[in-house]
This record gives sequence, structure tokens and C-alpha cells, in this order.
Amino acid sequence: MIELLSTDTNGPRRAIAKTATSKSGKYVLTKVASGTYDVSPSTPTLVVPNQGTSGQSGRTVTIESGESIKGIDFDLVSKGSIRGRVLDVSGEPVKGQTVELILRGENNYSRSFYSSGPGDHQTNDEGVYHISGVPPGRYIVKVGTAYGLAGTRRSEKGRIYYPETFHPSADEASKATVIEVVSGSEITDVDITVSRPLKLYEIVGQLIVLETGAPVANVGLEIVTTSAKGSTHLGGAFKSDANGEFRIPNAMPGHYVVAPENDRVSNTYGDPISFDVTDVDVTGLKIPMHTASTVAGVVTIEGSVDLPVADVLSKMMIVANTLSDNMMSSALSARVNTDGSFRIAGIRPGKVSLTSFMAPGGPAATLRLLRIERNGSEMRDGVDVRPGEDISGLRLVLGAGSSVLRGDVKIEGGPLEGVNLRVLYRPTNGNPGSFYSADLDTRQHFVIKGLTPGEYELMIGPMSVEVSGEKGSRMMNRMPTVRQTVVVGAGADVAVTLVMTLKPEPPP
Amino acid sequence: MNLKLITLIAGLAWFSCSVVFSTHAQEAVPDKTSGSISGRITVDGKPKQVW
Repeated sequence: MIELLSTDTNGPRRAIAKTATSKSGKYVLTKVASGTYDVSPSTPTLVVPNQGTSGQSGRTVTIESGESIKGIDFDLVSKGSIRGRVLDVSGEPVKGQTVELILRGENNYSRSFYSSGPGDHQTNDEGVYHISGVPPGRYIVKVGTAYGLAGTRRSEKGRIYYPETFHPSADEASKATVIEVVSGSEITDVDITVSRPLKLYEIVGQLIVLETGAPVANVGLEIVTTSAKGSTHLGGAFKSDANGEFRIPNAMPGHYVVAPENDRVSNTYGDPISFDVTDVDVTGLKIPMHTASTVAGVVTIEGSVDLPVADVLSKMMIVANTLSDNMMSSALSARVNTDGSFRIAGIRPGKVSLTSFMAPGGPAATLRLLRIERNGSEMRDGVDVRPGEDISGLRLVLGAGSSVLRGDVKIEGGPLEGVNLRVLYRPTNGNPGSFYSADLDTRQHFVIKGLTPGEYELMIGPMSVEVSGEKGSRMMNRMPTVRQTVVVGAGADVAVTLVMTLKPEPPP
Repeated sequence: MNLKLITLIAGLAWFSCSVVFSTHAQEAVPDKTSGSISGRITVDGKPKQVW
């Protein structure tokens, strides 16, 4: 079956049309409205080779009204499988372990493969695993943990964790035996022998408001670990309990940073703490918390939208992000009310950027943030927020335009391989660090609708790609950053061509 | 989760770019001016009928 998948960013990809191929393998999807789609083969036993990091196996196509796009071909291969056992040093089966499959490509490219088969990656009571649906390629197979947290659930406290071990019994990836899966092959006896279980430690502490000594409950924690073998960045797995206390089990030795998320419910933010885990539990940690700031204002729309304005506004989200806060979970959001008002609590003081987006399931209206005003003055590079300050009276102006910018990216100096390219664009009178993004289709074509009149900067380069195959990382080094400015008039339909000349391929 | 995804993507962009996804109207509603997409499926280089 060939599926036509919507790439509407207001929700997950969904199939909106399907068709079978003829005996000669040909297919036609008809009655396709203008827009951007992914065309993807969907078969249980076949797969597109070298599919992207996101697991998408389709090709992106942007189609205009009345257009007939031909040549969206796919050469598929049969999926394979890998089976084996995990045993301890005495030859006893090890159950309940997660077996990971890592694709090893050219140019040090590697990525994990996850089977959609339920339980495929888990060893059973006999220590047996069977991973199906494996695309052809060269893989290494591993269990265990090399650094950071071996597990995130306290309920698994009695569970046994093992050091990172590669098939057949290697402690480093470079010593692992590589398994080659060819189209349709079943590889067996890919066994792993693990050594002694890991010795793990617990991290215990409490979140306390510095000024009052009061504990802060239900605040999420972000955990960064670094060791000689690598680093991890984990968010969302732990939070403080009703007494403001937290317990992080299963910690391997290394350097740790624990940072509280900015919290809108308690209107607090905190200071990250860092420490080392050596050979004992780490207890008695105190994370200092502070009263946070709030920002409030109103959202207005310039231009016309097809739906009632209140319906559109009530599906919008406003996101606040303190620019000096480098933690992953620092962004805070609030839904806009039907009258356009919004209020966001829990903000860390500093220079705060505000952005808007349509909530999943919201109407497909093209609205872009034109400017942010405070007391009539435009805040081009963010809003300065002081500690504990409650800011009101902000005005976020969103634009609903009718202009269209369509373009092509011409690649010179060789084919573009192993990457999916996007075009970044922004109004030149806006924040120079804030870009919108438009997908390029398989023909390197893009269409941006709903623009308001003005001058725009377009940018493509290594910062706007997703590596989708083995050749991608090397390709990124050959890509220059290309910028181009274009003026879009009211109601205009503007065509533009960006030329990217790839740098020469470096010697191997 | 959406917030984390957006923050993660922004963190990957160079020059501290904050990437905001635009939201386009893209519904496949059949109309008189709709187009078509066609191609061919092969398996290991040979034509294949897939259902």
C-alpha cells in the first residue's frame, strides 16, 4: 500500500489516502489538493533502505493545484531479524534486559533501531530476544548501561543492571562483532555474555525556597550526567514529592547536575546544583528555589482569518523562554483565552523571548508573530524581566497574510545525499535569531503561504538539515550557509531560487 | 512534550536560532484543480505489486 500522509504540523502525521500498486509496481494518487505531504510505502515485510533518523520512510512532496508529479519511486528491501540470548558469566539466562541494536554506517554514522514488535527488545525468562523488522545494514548489538542512570524507576530498585556489553562479550563498541543483515535474512545466535552486575547509588535531596525555607512540591527535575565515557541529559523522569523531596535511584559514578524546571504552578525557579557520585549514596542535597516572575498581556491579529477570531485565539499557545537559561525544560507556556489575554507564571528572570504556536488539533490558520509591544514600544530582542516582577500589558501582534512565496533550491557541486533540507525564513525587521521553517520536498521545492507583506531573509545550510542517512554527516561539512533576501508584496505570489554550491569533497 | 520538542529543536539550531514551526492549511479535499502523484515500487530492483 502507498500512503499519502499529511504533514500538517498541528498534529501527528496521518494517512489521508491510500492506494495499491499495479502488477508492474506502478501507483497513482489522484485528487490530491495542493499542499505538502509525505508519500510512503506501507508494507509489513518491506522497508525503504537508509530511512531517516526519525524513522520516516517516505518522500516529501509539495504539490500545486492541478500539478501532476511523476517519478516518486521507491526501491524497497525485505526486512530481516536478529535473535540471540543474554547470559551471565556462569551461563545462566538473564531476563528482563533491554537489547539495543545500533546501525553502524560509513563515516562513523550510527543510530539505534527500534522494532515496532511488542517486547522484541526484551529478554524473556530464558534470556532470549528476537528483534524483527530489521532493515538491511551493519549492526552492533548491546545490553547494559555505560554511564549516567541505569534506570529511572524506583519500582525497579530490585532489578539487576549490567555494564554496557556488546555481542559477544565486549566492553567497548570498537571490540564488538558486527552483524550484517541483508535483505530478508534471519540472523541467529547473536548472544551476549554480561559480567557482574553494576553497583549503583541513590541521590536524595529537597527543593527549598531560599527566602522562607518552605519545600516546593511537584517540580520536575532535569538531570545532566557526565563521565569519561559520555554524557546524558534527562528531563521529565523525576519530580519533587509533596514534601519537596526527590530520590534518584540507579546512579552510576560520574559528575551530576540536577536542575529544577521553571514551575508555573508554584511560580518558582531554582538554582542547579552539581556534585560527584563516587562509591556511596549522595544524600542531604538542598536545591535553592526562588519566587519567579510572571508576564501577561493580550494577543491580537492583524489581517483576516477565515474562522471567528475567538476560535483561533483560544487554540493558540504562547511560550516564554528565558534566553540565559540553557536547560532543556526551561520553556513555559500558556493557552490564550478567547478574548486574547494570556498570563504565564514561573518565569526565570532575565531576557525572555515570547513565541506563539497553534496547539495540536487547532485550526490550520497561518499566523506568524509580527511584533511584541510593551507600553507601545516594540521589544525586538526579548522582554527584560526582573526577579519577582509581574509584567502586564504586553501586546503580541500576529499577522494573517495572503502572500505566497514559492521557491526552489538548486544544488551545485554534486548531489545532496543523506540529509533532508529545510528553508529557514524570517521577516528582516524581526528578531534576527528567530526563524520559521519550511520543508523542502524531494524535488527541493517549497511553498510558504499566508505571508504578510514585507522583506524576508531566507537561509539554508548545515543548521537547517536533518541527517537521514549514512552520508549525511559528511554532506553537512560540504554545505555552505546560503542567505537571500526577498521582498513580498501584499497578496503577491513570488518565486525565488536559492543556489547552494557544495564545497569539494574532502579526501578520505 | 511539545514544549520539550520545540526546545530541543531550537537547541540544535546554530546561532541560538529559535525555530518556530509555521502552520499551513493542508487538507486533501478533492476539488477540480487537485493534482496527482505517481511513481513505481520495486523490491531489490524488480517491479512489485504491494497491497
